[in-house]
Amino acid sequence: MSRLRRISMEGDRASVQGAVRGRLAFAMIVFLCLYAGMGLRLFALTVLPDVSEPSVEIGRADQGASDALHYGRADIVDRNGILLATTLPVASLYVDAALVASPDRLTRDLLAVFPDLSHDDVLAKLSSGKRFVWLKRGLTPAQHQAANAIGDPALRFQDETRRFYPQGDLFAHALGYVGVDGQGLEGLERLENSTLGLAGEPLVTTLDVRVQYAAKKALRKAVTSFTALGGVAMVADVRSGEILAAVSYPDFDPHFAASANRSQIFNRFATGVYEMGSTFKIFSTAAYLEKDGIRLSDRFDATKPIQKGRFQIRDYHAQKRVMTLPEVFMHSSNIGSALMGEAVGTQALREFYRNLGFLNDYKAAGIDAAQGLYPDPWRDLSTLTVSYGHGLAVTPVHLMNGFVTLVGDGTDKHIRLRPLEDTHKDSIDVRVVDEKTVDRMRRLLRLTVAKGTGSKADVTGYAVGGKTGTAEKSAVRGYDRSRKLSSFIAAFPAHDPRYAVLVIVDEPNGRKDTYGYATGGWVAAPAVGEIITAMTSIYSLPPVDDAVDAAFYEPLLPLVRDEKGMPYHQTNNTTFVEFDQ
Amino acid sequence: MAMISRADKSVLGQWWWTVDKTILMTILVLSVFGLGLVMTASPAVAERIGFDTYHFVVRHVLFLAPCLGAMIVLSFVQERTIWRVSALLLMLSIVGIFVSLAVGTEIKGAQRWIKIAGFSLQPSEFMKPAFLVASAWLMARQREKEGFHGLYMSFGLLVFCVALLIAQPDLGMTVLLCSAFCVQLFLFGSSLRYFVLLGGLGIVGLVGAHFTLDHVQSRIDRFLNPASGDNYQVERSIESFANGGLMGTGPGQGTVKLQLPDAHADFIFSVAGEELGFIFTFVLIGLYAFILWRGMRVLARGSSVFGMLAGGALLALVAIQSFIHMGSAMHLIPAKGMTLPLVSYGGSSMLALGFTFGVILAVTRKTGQRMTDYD
Repeated sequence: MSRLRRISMEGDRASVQGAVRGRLAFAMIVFLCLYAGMGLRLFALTVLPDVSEPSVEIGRADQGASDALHYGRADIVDRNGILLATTLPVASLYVDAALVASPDRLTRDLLAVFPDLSHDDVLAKLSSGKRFVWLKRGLTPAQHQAANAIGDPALRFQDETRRFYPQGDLFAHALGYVGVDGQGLEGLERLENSTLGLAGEPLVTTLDVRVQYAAKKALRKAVTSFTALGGVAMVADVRSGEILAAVSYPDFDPHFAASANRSQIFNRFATGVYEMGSTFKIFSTAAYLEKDGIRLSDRFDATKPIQKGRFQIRDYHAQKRVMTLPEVFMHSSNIGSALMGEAVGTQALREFYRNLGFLNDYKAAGIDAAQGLYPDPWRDLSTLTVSYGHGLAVTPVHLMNGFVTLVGDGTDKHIRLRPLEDTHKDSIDVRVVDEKTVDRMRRLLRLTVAKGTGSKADVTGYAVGGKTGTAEKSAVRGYDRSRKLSSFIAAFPAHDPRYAVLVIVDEPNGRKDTYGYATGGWVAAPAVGEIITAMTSIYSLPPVDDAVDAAFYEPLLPLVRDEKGMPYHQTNNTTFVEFDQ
Repeated sequence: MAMISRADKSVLGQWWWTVDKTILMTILVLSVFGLGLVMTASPAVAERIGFDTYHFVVRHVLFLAPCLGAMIVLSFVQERTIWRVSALLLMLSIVGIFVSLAVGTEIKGAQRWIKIAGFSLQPSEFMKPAFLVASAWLMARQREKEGFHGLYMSFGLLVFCVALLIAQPDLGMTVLLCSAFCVQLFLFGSSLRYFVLLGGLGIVGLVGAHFTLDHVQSRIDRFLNPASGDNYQVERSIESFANGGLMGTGPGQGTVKLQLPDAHADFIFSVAGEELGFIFTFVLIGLYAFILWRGMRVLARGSSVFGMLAGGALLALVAIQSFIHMGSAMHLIPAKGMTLPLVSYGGSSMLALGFTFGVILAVTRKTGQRMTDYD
């Protein structure tokens, strides 16, 4: 290599080195800036924690002192803010058995604090040598302090959170419960699991502790005194569709849901699918009233059972005469209702039931209910039976929602457990029946309580209107007359209903004082009356003027006769003709 | 220092007067920081997973000693020896990765470890610095010998190494290696179009990872929108800094280590923030910045091209790794588990750091030229 060439190479190398040097300096400055950025971030996070970015944890702390009381999953409250479910921090005790000096002595000390623990079990755990063994989960503050006072370094505490239901078993089915990992498993806890998990504001429900208690008390009395399997009680606000009470009995303690039996866990109002029986005459009657050119004085021949092939439709208390429409309703004639359904027609009746939501599962805010059963194929015979509530099964939630639609203003209110934001109200009010039909249904229901099968639900001064239901439960072959589903559904005050109340009792047995009867009128109607009585004082409801009440249903009296075929006494002289226009 | 005469021409004497004692001291101070933090953070972790209380402390010391030893030994050697050792280490680590893929133990969804004499080793940790030294040599060689396509060769080597990392899969290491390589490419003097190309590839790669690897997607989503998922570790980490404040809770007094699974490794910076407070943690950041500043300044003042490329890339490697660690802990980037160099517990990474800092010390040694220029 020539000398010249080498010099040139040396020069190249120097210039290359110079270029790399410059870039090194540049890279150095960039990296130092990044380190400075790290330092600034560190300063912001340590010294100025309040202005750091809104991490979930810190953001929550900024929201104010009241939120410091919220631990984990959000609370659930009733319509008046009464606490129904909350999450509290609890300490759980475990032992680092490797640090236990004297298992015998520590066992003795522990049993003094936790008498419910087994001596041998504790001793085995303390002697195990394991570094982490649970001794007791979810200590009370007193237990926590006492265990701490033992002062053994092997005893350790772990902070946990736990779901508490201050109302105990009162809302077991409406609220549901949470699993060991805090996830909602049933009821509202399951349906609103994601909302509750965000740990924000309490979740407000439409429930009212006072009404729920009244409903449960009346239901429990009916179920136990008639030695029934169980039952349902529901109360809804007819105007808003808000559910004030939803009880399934027997119920369970949601803190110990795992140890409840199947009958207790079973949510009868949302998952119990029943053939409702005569309460369904409300809907077939409404379907008939929706027809053009009908009159309340229309007559139905109930002199003899309807024979369809091998199938016979009979009346429970057969009066063997031709009945007017109000008579069919108030005396609950299966024959009359079947004839009404026949008059409506298969296609129209099925469409009507579909509009009421009976053919689908039910979904609304905070509550959903199982899909029922309906005839498929839907023959003409099915039309006759579903008119008096057989051959078609729905949940009590379905029944209540359909009833609220018919006695409210004729639009579907979507009964629900969470208040609806005002903005959504218009969009869901789908009209199902005409206002004229609503008015006639209210009068028929009031007549049934005032003079017919539902008299035991009446509460003086509150103009209760309702309908009984006594369904025979289906057996392997046909229906079993001894196993009944007795129900009563009512609205009050009848001329402008505010609340709807439903009681269903599953397989009641007759009592001496009911002359062996276990029908809806004997079993469920009194329970509904008790709930309404309680509600009148809870909400300080003003009584209805007797004259207003009489003027509402007595115009129907000229059309009806009692069970023995005798006319009713009329207190005022309003004539029927005026009303039936 | 009176112990060794400046006129001493022995190997040790030469080393003592040429090695950059400031960087050496800073490295030792960082190691002490690290030892202290592992001592306070790891017992809680060890007890939680059922190991002996001082399991990690003992192991940390067991790895720290050979790490520092290897560093000192390497800092003696000449540049020629450096890249020969690196080439050997690179080959060994590549073989190691193949072995780990074939027979390695799968931990948390990836096959990265091989067991040697009771210790789990992660060969890819050694591949990082070895690759950067090898590619520095290839690039420098191109500058010295016409017709030698060192740049293409180093690209080829990069593609091969990245393919191995993705096979494991080890996305964090891939990002780290590519970033450090980019810095090296920049130092080499590549034109801008290479960076546009590499940047584009990087973005394509990350977007691809986002859509093909579920855990990558969820981490990025959780970073962009903290409410979308479980940010437990990041929240605890942020809390720990707030808890630490200006002065810290005092060594051993923190609580974040009781809650975070990898407090002794991937989240040791949070432990530092909580227990040492702003002032001392700021000093910790300063030590890293100081090593980088001092190292690059010394390199710029008169090293060979190879020295600048190798030393610069390795300094960048350490810096980027510390950024990712600190950035994850302080929620500046999506959470990515990465150790804090010299401070976190981590066997393979600690040994590899011995090599890394050994090379850095070797290439920053004062050459005859520089002694005449500046001393």
